[in-house]
Amino acid sequence: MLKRPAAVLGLFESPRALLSAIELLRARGRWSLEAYTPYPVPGAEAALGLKRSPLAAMVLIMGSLGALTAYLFQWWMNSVDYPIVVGGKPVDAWQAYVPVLFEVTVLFAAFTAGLGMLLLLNRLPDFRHPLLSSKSAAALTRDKFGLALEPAEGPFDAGAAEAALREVGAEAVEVLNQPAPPAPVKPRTLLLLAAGGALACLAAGLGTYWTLKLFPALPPMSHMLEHPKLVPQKPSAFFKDGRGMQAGVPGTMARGRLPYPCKTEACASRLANPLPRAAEVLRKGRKAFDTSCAVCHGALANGRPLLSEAYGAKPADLQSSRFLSMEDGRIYHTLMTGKSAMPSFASSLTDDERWSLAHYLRALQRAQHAEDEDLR
Amino acid sequence: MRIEDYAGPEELKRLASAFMTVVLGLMVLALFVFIVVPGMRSAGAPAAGEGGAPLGANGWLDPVEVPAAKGYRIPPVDPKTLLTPTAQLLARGSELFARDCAQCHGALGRGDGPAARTLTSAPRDFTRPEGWKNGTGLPAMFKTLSAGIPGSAMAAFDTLTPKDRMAVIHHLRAFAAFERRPEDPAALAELAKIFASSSVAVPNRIPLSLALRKLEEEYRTPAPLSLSPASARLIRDPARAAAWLQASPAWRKSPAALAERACAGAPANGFAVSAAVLDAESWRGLYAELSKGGRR
Repeated sequence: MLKRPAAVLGLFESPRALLSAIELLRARGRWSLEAYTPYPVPGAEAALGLKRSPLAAMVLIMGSLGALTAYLFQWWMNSVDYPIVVGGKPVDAWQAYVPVLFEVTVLFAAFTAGLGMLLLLNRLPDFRHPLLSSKSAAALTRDKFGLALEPAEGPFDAGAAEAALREVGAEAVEVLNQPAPPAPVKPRTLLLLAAGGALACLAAGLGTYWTLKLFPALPPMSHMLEHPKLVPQKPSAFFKDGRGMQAGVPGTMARGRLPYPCKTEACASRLANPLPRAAEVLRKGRKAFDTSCAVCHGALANGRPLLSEAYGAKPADLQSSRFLSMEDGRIYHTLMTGKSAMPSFASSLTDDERWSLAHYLRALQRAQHAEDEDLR
Repeated sequence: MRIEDYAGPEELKRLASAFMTVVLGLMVLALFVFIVVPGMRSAGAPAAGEGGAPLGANGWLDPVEVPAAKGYRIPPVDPKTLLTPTAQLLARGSELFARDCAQCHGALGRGDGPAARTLTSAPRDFTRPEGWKNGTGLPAMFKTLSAGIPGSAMAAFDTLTPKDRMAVIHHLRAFAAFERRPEDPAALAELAKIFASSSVAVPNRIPLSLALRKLEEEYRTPAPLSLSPASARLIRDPARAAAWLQASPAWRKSPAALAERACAGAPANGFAVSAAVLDAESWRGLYAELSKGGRR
């Protein structure tokens, strides 16, 4: 069978020689150029005139798609198909979706990056690549820099390409031939391969099973049994203060904010609610109340929640006269500092959520202390 | 007889791809049969609350959408029926004590309920005679229960009717088995007068959606601020600042009052954080501008 030259490869001593050769040969424009180097050579991409890889865009699109998939998946299951109310919170509270959303985003993005680069963009694996049967392949992975001239269009004159490479300073030149197409696989080989694959799967499965059975959870293979995770209703073993969710560092604050000025309720009673009492604000307040407050204070804010028995606590009855006349500022203050068993919500709610909670509480109180004309 | 006699490599390949197509099709079918169709069926099923019970936004029973109910007054009760314990009062008291008091004061009144250790001032141990803030007489205990003890965790239980309050008091007096001073007749007469004269109002009740609508309707949206360029740098969000100025009318007292309040609320109230380092002169200018209604 006649050997068809697929490319001509020239070897260069240094990246500098390679780059100058690329520049000279690109100017002639008769070949399409490909560089093979033991490590990424800075400037080679620009010299070869390669376009920016579309991989980043692919990863962005697939990552976003992953996030969307995970969100819709959980939203559909948790709030449409089979809604389960957890702790009295709204079934579509997005906070619970975050871990899976994050994982699926990373999964989609990572697979796109890895497989997209290998399979789609570089078309690997390519076992019939002419370079693989070249004598210089070993040198190219160590200390030599290769430049291959491939036919751009029309017939390929290997002799001219060889001469051109020698002219620009290649220290060795080799003609790479297109390997012959592989012989067709016999059905018997296919069957043998299938049987071998099945055997390998069986061996791996049995091996894993018996390894895990005979050597259970020996460090470091503890199978995630021992790690500093937070066990519900138990203090964290990882943080000194026993809290799983760490508050901000004391004495620090976010950029563009001022320290909370009030130490006493008297001071806080002078703070005023900056939010208008509009439908959107009330909706926000309702969501925050159902997510963070109703579990203890009850959906009606009367201090009689479903979980009171389990907590053994006595949450305040926000419908009593003391709270009916309480200023918004003092409600905000209590959310900032906490009171008795009630924790501070300074780091787990935003400013706007705290102020809209004050508005929503007024609506809850109005519902239980309605005026006569409301009944008409 | 060999397998090649029946199927060549091309034929085998076609067979394999046909097999994969069938498996994939079956998986898609299984997804629909076991997950999507049952889900759609239960989504289309009649909702639980169609007998007139209120439903929330997600189709579940909504505890806040209670039907509207007219308020009424509970007439005053005969003091004689409240001042001495009866079996009926004690039964009611025990029920209320378990519901509202035992979490802190403990089921046996020793001040050792599960919530007690979170409280900064420890709850009263009813079995010990010393340290009762308002005293141990009936009028004193009624006062404590009605008004709470300001500065401590003891809340005012004014949402209970006077009768219920007396029921709780008689129940917890059973824990306080120590020697008590005789009741002061004057204070007792005063208490009896309270019972005999005051009726209890049970307020009207409306569904939350109506309350939300009412509050929204009653709110007077403030006119937007139109500021000079110098003030516009200080007031980052004029709409928010307008709402905040309306909500705290005390800023009108003086430029200093405006400065103190604005800095305490920044940046949530629409003022820039840089307002915190403003000098008195600039505050006077801003005060004058806002006093004119913030309109040029």
